[in-house]
Amino acid sequence: MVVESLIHYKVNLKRLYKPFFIYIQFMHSDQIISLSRLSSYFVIVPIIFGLISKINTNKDFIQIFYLLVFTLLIEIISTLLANRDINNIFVINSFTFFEFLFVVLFYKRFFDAFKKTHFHFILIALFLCLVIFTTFLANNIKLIDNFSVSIEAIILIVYALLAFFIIMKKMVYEDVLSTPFFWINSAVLIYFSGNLFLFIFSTYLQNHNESSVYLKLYIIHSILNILYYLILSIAFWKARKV
Amino acid sequence: MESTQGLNITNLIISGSLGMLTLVSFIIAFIAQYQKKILAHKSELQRTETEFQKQLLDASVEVAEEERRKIAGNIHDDVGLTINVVKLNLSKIKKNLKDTELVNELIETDIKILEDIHTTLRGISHELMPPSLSLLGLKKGLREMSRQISASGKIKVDLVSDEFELRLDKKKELQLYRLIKELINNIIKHAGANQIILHFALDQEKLITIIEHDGIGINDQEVMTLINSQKGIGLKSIQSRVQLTNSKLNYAYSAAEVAKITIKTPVL
Repeated sequence: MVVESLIHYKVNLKRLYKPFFIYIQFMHSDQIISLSRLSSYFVIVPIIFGLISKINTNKDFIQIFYLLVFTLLIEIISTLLANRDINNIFVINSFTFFEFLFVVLFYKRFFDAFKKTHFHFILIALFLCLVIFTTFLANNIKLIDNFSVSIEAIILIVYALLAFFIIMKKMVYEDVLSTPFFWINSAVLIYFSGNLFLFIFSTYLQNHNESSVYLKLYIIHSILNILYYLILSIAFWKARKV
Repeated sequence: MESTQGLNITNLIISGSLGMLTLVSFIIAFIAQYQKKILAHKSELQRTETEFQKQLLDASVEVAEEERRKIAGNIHDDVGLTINVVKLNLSKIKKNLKDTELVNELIETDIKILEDIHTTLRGISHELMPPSLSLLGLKKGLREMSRQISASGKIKVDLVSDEFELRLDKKKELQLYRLIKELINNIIKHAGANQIILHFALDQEKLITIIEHDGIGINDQEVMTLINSQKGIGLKSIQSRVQLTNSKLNYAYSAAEVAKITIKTPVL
């Protein structure tokens, strides 16, 4: 998703001479952007699975379904804006907050079964303040707010690990592999942990004129994006069986 | 060409991402595997428990069948045969009504036989439901049983108890009575004891029964081995009575101590 905004950067890919990056070095910026777009629109797959499984009627997973529908809308809007050469960074930065909101609400429902607390709402409010602060006050409005994304990733990783800890400690599920929650939690954990380093260092790369490296590294994000949506599709498929 | 710093950052990001992915993959795989193992362990425990319950049920059915066979045998051998004698005597009386001496003699014989039948039937009835137990409660029922066993002269059974009056639920009382009786029978049959002492005490809404004897005892582990083997039907039947009364049973025996069986039964 963030890669859409990079269309605004005039990037010039050069060859890298380290064999470890041999695959990356052969990809041109256009290919990378296409891959990124493909991965972003891959969101349609879990939405279809969600509709088949009637996930929109399941209160436990509806937050994730809404998140995916919202993601698709944001993708369409940001592509339209980018095509018309309008800065779409604001849309992307506001998406960070809504993504956080939907995922925390999903975890809230899980944790409420064990202990009800207002902590989740406090966290959402604090995160909203952070996004507003970094987007409008501390950051340049034309830059992607990677600081908030990094904080979001860390918080959601902690949520996912805590959920796994509770699943193990309280023996919540008899057959964990057939449980949609396990797959959604795994998807969140894999996506945010895999992208964490990219999110943390992307501001540095943007600020130090390393946009070409940043763009290439976005392949990692695209692959993880596809993996994320595939695992969510499995989760929704399992929900159908439940 | 990209700067060295750019390459270093690229390295760091790729290694960091791969490291994180490997770590979370291990976590997810561990959780899936751990849950699978726990599930397998749980179903194994459930299977063992079901198997054990089945064994207990089989044992209690077998013991009940054995009791029925014993009662049927007693009625057939003692009552059935003697009733036939009475019947024969009555036929003789009918044929020899004029022979007063013979009639008197046969009537005397029949009265004696009928008294014997009455005694036998009372014995069977007492065996099924001891009157002292239903009328006076467990403690007095067991005192009566101790007296009867001691009177046989084979073994001495004493009952020592704190001063308390207690009536349990009738079904529970009967099950506990049979449980203690079965334990005493086992001691008589297998332990080679000369003396048994029954202790009764009430402790925090629990009836504590301790059976001590001077014979060769058995401990919990040995009992479990016997229960798990195809032998030990009596022990399984004891175990099913323990469950029926919600009691806890403990066998203790060592070279240094006398053999002891403790039963803790909730009063409520």
